[in-house]
Amino acid sequence: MVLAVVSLIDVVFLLLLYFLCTAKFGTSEEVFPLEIPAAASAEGSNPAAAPPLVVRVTDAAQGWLRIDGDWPQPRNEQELLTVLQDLRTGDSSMLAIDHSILIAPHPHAAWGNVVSTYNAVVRAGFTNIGFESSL
Amino acid sequence: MSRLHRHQIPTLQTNLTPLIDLSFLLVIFFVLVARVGEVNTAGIQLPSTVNGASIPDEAPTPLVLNLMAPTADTGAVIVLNDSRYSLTAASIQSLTDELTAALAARPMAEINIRADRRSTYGDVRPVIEAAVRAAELAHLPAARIRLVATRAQAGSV
Repeated sequence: MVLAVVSLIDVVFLLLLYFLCTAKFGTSEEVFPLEIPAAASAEGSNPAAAPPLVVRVTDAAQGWLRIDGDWPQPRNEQELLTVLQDLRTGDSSMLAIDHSILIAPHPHAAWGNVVSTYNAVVRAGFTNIGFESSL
Repeated sequence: MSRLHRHQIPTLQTNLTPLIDLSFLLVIFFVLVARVGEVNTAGIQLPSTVNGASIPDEAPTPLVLNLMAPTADTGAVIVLNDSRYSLTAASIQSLTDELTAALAARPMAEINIRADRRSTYGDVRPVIEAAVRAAELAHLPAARIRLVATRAQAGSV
């Protein structure tokens, strides 16, 4: 008796190739969309608009976050998320969803901390986010 | 002689040729995939966010700017396709020119910035500025930048 295993192997390897081709290799990468107007004058300053909330990312190892103004000061991105969510949806609810949030990183601030800050602002529900610079 | 043949036990024969063929094809496949992965992710540790608000990368062919963190020997290096740039003014100008040409050819292209989390904002900012300047030179209303990060498992970072 001869088992016809050749066709079986053919099909199994074809299936294997199919799954290899469709599988995603490496870590899953995701993105934070950020649209910056090309011309600086495209979205010129609107005098009627409320001043933006400036979140500063410093180069300090501890307590690397600071919010300009008389707001509760967060020590990390988790506390920033809590503060921003409270500002947007809390009892005081001082900031609208499209209130301008400017992230102002120190030149020596770690990029990982900058992205964590951006993530916290997005998670808090704000939609008008930018970087404070000459951009 | 004929009696011997009559009582011979049937043997199981496996044709190994297609198996070996496909095995070698798989080896070639893995070699190619491994080299591509190495080029795309060499030395870059992307920022990772817990409970990230990031979205899946679904752009078919974005312009990918890799920013490698500075080492003891070299400063930060920007890689766009096969070109490498430093953070000097002349090099950033060359990067802007290449980005402008790419955006002129594909105005809807997104610009993915894959910056190492160990680099500083001072290293990343010229890259963002180059992207915005290139969009301006290509007569686009805005630079469609996307900051690339990985989503970490809760508790791992």
